[in-house]
Amino acid sequence: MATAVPTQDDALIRIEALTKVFYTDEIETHALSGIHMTIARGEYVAISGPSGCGKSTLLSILGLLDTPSGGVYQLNDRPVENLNFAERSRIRNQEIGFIFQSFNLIGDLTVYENVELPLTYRSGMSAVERKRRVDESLARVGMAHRLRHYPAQLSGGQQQRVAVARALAGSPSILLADEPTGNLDSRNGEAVMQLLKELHKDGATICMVTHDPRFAKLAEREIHLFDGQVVSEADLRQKMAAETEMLK
Amino acid sequence: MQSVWNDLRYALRQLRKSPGFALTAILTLAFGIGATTAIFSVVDGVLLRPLPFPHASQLFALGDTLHGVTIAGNGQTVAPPEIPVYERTMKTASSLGGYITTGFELSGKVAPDAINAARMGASVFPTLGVQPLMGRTFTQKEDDQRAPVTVLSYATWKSRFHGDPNIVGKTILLDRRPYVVIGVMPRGFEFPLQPGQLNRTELWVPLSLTEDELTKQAGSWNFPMVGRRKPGVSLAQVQANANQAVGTIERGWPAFMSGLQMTASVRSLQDATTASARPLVRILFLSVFVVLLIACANLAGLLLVRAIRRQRETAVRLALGVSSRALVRQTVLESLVLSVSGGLLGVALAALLIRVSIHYLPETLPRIQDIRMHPAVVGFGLLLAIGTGVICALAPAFAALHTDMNAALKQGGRSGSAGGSHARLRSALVVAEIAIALVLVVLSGLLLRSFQKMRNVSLGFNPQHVVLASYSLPMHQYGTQTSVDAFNHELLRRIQALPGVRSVGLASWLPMSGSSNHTGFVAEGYTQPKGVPTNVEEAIQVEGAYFHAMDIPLLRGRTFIGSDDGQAPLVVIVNRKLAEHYWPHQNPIGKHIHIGSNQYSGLPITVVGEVADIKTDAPDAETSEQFYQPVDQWVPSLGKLAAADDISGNGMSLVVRTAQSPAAMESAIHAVFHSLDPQLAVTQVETMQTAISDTEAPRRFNTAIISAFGIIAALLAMLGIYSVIAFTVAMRTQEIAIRMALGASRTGIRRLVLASGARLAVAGCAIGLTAALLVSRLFSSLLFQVNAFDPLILMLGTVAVLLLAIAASAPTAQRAASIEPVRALHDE
Repeated sequence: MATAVPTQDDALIRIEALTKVFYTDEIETHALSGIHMTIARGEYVAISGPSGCGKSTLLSILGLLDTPSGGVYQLNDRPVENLNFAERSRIRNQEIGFIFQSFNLIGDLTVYENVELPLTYRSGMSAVERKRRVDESLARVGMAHRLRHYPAQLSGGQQQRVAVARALAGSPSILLADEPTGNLDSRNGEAVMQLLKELHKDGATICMVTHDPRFAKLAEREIHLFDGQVVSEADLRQKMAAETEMLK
Repeated sequence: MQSVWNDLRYALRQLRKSPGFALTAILTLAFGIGATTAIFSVVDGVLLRPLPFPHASQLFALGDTLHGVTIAGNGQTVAPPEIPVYERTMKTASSLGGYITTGFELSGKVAPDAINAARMGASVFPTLGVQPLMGRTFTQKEDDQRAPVTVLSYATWKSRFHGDPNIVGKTILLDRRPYVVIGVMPRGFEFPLQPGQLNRTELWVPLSLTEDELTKQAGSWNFPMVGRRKPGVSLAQVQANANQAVGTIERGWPAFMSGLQMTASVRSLQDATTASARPLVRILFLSVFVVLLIACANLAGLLLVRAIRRQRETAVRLALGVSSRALVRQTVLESLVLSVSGGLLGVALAALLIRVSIHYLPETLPRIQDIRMHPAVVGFGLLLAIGTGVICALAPAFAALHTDMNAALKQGGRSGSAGGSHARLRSALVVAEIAIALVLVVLSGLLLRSFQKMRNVSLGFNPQHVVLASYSLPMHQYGTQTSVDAFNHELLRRIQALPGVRSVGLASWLPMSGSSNHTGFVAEGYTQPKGVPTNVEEAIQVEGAYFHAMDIPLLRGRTFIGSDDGQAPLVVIVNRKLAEHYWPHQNPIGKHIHIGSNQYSGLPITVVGEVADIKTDAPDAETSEQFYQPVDQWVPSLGKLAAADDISGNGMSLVVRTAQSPAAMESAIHAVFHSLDPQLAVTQVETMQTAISDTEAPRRFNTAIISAFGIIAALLAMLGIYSVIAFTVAMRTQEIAIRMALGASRTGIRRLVLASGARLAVAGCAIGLTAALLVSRLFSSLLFQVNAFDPLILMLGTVAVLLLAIAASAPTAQRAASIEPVRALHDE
């Protein structure tokens, strides 16, 4: 079994023997089978692999949207795999910033309100502080001039930049991006990737799921998944070739 | 036609695919249409349907309106000497006659029983235009000669005489006098048209006005008249003609009536019969119609949801070139399939409802026997179903026509923006539902409060442990004052001797009986205001320990004693209201009154006692001014007003206060009457509590039925809120998942959903409150001691509806809080 090797000692995320099993009727599907992985603070990691390899499941667990079936998951040196919903909500809100493939902006809220939304879930944050953060985040992604627009009034690339601003506004420990360019044309896709690169340069920790090798190469480190397991790049090529042969 | 048939088949297929939806929609409509149809049958039977007489629109009711005087039935009756005058003078009428309801003791070959009857002028039957089933009706000669003949009702002939085919010519005993049956009226004939179901007239005898009635009862307005207009004559012409007759009548008045001002009152018989019931029936119909509106709003909402869910299908149809007309036709057809199914079920439900509930209708409602599922009522139900179907189709048709084809096709029919605009339409429907429901809830609250106020009204006496019984001694056997007095004294003695009896008395009129007797009244030392020619007050003759038996508090002086008989000085007891009216802030004891008028009065009577006011009618009716006399002194007190054959105490009610259960006393009372006179018919043997309950029945009915509509409206509105919130949450599942992904807690999500329900409720309540304020004036005639704008009721109603709305949102809020964000996001 291959292991994703940490490149830094200062681990933000540490995962050991992580498994996720789905049960549908009487069928047991092993989406993740003993994943070992570490992500250091300030690192930019890309998780890649073919469709159905478990990338999104892994990202959901990393983002505390889902719970693992087994194994250990430590975030900021704290075990988080067995937290209750309220605790997971609090950590998601304060430590994790999400960027989704389909942006997931709320259509009835303005750009400003969308970015402000996660901050409204934080108790004790003043309106002034919220405004400062929203303004900063939107300025950071170059969307400060579209505060009062609704998502439907923006292009896909602009919507994704607003989504990045929303993820940044809470000053999370890590940005989790799930195929952030999947719904964008190549020009907008590249612009978003450029934005992520800049954020990383400024110190952000990023974990991105992508199936596009061009964008995966932009990360500092690439983790390859195949059939719910971490494999080396060489192994991945071999397994995929074998699969293609079998299909033929 | 083929395309309509195809659309219909498609609609049926679609409904078969969603049996839950179809069942909910059909049942909602069946309930709404059923209730509306059932209430419409009341409207139809009571108000709309022509009276059961040929050319009923030509019939009119005639009465006198006395100005400046308060008497019962003002405008509906005439005095007996006027009847021949009107009959002679009214050239605009082809026929006209007077009548009066009465009671008889029916005996002979049947078990003795007290029955309702009517004395009718010989011209009344021809006026009504109904031929007898058997035999004939009275001739004028029989009326003039006071012939002892009678015409039976169909029900009486069937039930009491077992449908004897040879009944005509046979003799029956009425008040123990022989009467020959000369005819039987057909099934369904009823006259006078009495409210309720219990007071049906069982037989008719000639009016045969007595000499005393024709000469001495010019001031006794107790006889209604009915006439038929000549062809081409309007009601206004009849009215003018009647006013001419009034001039003749006034010229014949005795001197003591010279100050009275009178006009004739002519109304169509239909109007006169139904006038009192009109407000109640209208409000019933309005209430049920409101419930139907809410049901329609719910169905429109459900259809709208289906339309939104089928946006992709609609978009595909549009892409394939469907016309707007065809799209609307399909939507309307689907709605019609539901509404007509609901309508058919509703009509069946209405038939069942009428059959079951007819016995619970209040006795104040006229023409109850006409409330049936007539073809017109069935037609109304089906028309309502079709109308409902078309109206309910409007919202989904609008949604279908405004489908964003591009967005729906691209997004697989899950276009958020289109759903959003339709959801707003649906929200508007729910806001309207809540508003309407609040109006009904507020109205229910006002009626409940009125009912509570009525229950709290002090009756002025203690109704607990009191048993009542009424009787009327037949003149044939009790033709003298001595025989009547002997019966009454012996009755009191025997009842008093029964175990458990605390006190017993007799009264000519009982509280809560719905009957009273008003008499001209003069108070010495009282200056009559200008324009008020005569005082008319409620006169009650009593005997025995009546005040003790009723537990009416004595405020001053004394009650009657055994020595207050016909030879003793004349005495009277007045109630507080009367004393305050005639001798304000004075002690009435020792004051004198006379029966009659200033010009024409009886002997002076001394006030010896003052008692508390009692309610003689329903608790919510105005308390009247009352005076009590001993039975033995009534005729002597009339002085020269008395007729030689005047008898008092021959129609009385017994009041027994008992230490034991009053219900247990009833059989003992029957036994005493039987031991005194085995043939005497005793009626209304019941507890005072039952009598009071009967008087409360109309208000109880109003309150119960409108409260029921209020509750149903609130429940339907809740269903509406539930469905709109559930639908909204379903549309917002992804948004909720995003919020959760961004850190929203489950409590926060719950709050979010509850707030959206509360927002709809607040909007609905704001509109509903305004509407309630606007329409509450319509209902003020049904309220008692409660302001139509009662702030407490308005506030409680609003809070109740708000809480119900939040409660209706709670299950959805819980479901929303249980959304697993990861699944919702992956399902995207």
